[in-house]
This record gives sequence, structure tokens and C-alpha cells, in this order.
Amino acid sequence: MKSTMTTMVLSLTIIASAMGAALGLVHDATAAPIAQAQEKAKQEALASVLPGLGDVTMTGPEEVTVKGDSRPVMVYRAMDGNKLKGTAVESWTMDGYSGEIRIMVGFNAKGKIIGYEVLQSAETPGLGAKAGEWFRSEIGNRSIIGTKGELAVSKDMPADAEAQEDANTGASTQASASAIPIDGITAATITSRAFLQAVNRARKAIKKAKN
Amino acid sequence: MNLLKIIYDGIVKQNPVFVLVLGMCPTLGTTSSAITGMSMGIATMFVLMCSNTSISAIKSLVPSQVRIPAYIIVIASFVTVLQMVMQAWLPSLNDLLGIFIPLIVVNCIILGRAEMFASKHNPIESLCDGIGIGLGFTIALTLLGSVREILGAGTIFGARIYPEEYGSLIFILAPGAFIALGFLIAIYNRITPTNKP
Repeated sequence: MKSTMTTMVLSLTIIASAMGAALGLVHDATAAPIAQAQEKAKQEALASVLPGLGDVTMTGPEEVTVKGDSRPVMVYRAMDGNKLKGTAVESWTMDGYSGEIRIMVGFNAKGKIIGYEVLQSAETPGLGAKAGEWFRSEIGNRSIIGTKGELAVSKDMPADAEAQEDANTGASTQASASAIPIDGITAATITSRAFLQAVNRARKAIKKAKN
Repeated sequence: MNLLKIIYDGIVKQNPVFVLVLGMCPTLGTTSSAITGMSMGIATMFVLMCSNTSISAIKSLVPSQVRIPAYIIVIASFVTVLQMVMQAWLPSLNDLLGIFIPLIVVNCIILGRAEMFASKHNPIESLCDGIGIGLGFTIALTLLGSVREILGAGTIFGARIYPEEYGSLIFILAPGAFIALGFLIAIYNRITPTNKP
């Protein structure tokens, strides 16, 4: 077809409107299943990070923004009547090796970690992507399950002095001496730091939510 | 033109990765394991089949000076449809491929086939070209993903072949993608007689 102003404008308008209409139809058809899939994934994650609590009702999510953060984390409470049985926190970090990592951490009523799930990450397969299993492994100091307090990668502990400048922020990664050392993933220290940062953020959010 | 020959050409003679060397970004980026490579290939094949057919159908209605914007609108729409469908029914796969799904819009294989093939052939032939090139892309990505996964992690499609400790990590990382791709292209062009000068 000849390229005149009229034909160009007309054909682009028709194509864009037709495609826009088609997209609208698909959006209508998929909106409900997408919401369902997200809700199902959330329920599964909640059940997985809060194991063995028996018959509880979940409340929330409550948005809690930790001091110094620009974005909130989501706090879910597992209630048995009026009694708090556990808390699940959907936390995040932007310091992963490939950007954002979203995790969900489950705490019991006393504040001990009882479970976690990586909800979304783009970490390197074979390295950082092991985070989903690594931090519940029984080997060495890998497991974060049962810990209660600030966590740090063990090589960032002051005694180890292997701490270095953080690749993203330039700040020193050296942890405070009171932190609980956790063995980071082999060859994926950045992912490990980011993961523990997200876990620490979840713990801070619980503290703040209580007050 | 024989439809089967179009499909065969797409897979072998004009394999998008090994012969045309198009679409290198997803080729290198999504092949850290066999399953992600294969999923990316199938997703691209779906978009390619839809876009080739519809571009071929509307080719006589599009003025040549605005054909590229018109093609991009069509391609982008199909990619958005694909993403919405994956979010609805394959959420785990969608998380796995992440940013590479929206990036199919700018995959040069798809625009390349629209320009080189679909705008010169009828819709049926263009659909076959989409199937052929899409299969060729899927096979190439699965192969590259398998090689990288076997050498890097000691598994194939998640099934363990040898202990993880013996894997060489470089094949999971970006440099390994280039090395493995280079060797695969060399081997491919050695065993296919069609590309001799």
C-alpha cells in the first residue's frame, strides 16, 4: 500500500485499536485466574512457613515500614482466638545478586524462626538460587530455623574480619558482634547477605508491629 | 512452496541460533538450565507463530513506511497476552523466566522473521515458518541449557548425573554461556553439510 499521511495514520490507528481491544478481552479473561494464582501461592507460602500451628485464623496483611526503609513489609498474624500463635512476614531486599529477592519468614509466638520460603528471586541458578534450601540445611551453621536475633553471614563477623566493602552500597559489611553467625552459601556471599538482610528486616518489622 | 520444507529450513538450514545467530540475549540469558532454556524457546515459538501469521495477514493493509511500528504493536500485544496467560495458569514458570518474557517484544528473531518472511509470504506459509524457526530456537536453547547444566551443575532437567562438587561453575555463569554457545555453533556447522561455502 502507498504511504500517504492518511493511510499511515489510518492503518496504525486500526491496528492499535484492534490489538488494544484484544488485550482488553484477554485481561478480562485472565484477571480472576491471576488473582487466584497469587492468592493460592500466598496461602501455600503461609502454610509452609508456619508449620504445625494447628487450627489458626490468619489476619492481615498489615503494612509495616521499618525505620529507614522506603517500602513496607507485610505482616500476617496466626491467631487462635485471641492468642497469637505465630507471625509470618513477607519481606524483601533489593541487594540480591540480580536485584530484588522477596521472602516469607515465619516466627513462632516467642519470636523464633520456624520456617521460610523464597517467594521471588532471580539469583544465579546453582549458586544464589540455592537460598531456598540452604538456610534450612542441618549442616554446619547454615540453618536460620530456631534462631532468635539479628543474623549475619559468618565471614562478616568481626572475629573473621573478612568483611569487605559492599558491592552495592560501598558500606562495610562487617556485622555487629552480637549478631548470630550463619554460614553463607558457597560462592554466593552477596545473595546470602541480601537474604539475611531480608530476614532481619522481617524481625524488625515484628518488633515494630508489636509496639 | 512446500510447507514441510519451510519447517525443516527453520529448524536446520536457517536455525535462528546456530545459523542466523539471532536472538542472542535470551539465548545466553535464559539457558542456565535445560528447563528454563526450553520454556523460553516455547514461549518465543508461541509469539512467533501468532505474530508471523497475523503480520502476513495484514501485510497488504500496512503502508511500507509505518510497517515496523505496526509489526511492533502486533508483537507486543501477543507478548502481553502470553505474559497474562502465564501469570494466570503457569505462575511458577513466569517467575522463573521473569524479565525475559516481556523482552520477547524486542527479540530480533521475531521482528526479523516478520520482515524477512511474513511480509513476503501467505499466512499459512508464515505460520509454518513460525513453527520451524520456533522449534529451531527451542531445540538450540534446550541443547545449550543442557550442556551448561550438565557441565555446571551435574544435572539435566534437574536429574543428577554426577555429584555437584565436580561441576564447573563457570558454565552456569555468563562466560560459560559464550564458551558453550561457541562450541555448539562450531559443532553444528561441522555436521550440517548445508552451510559449506
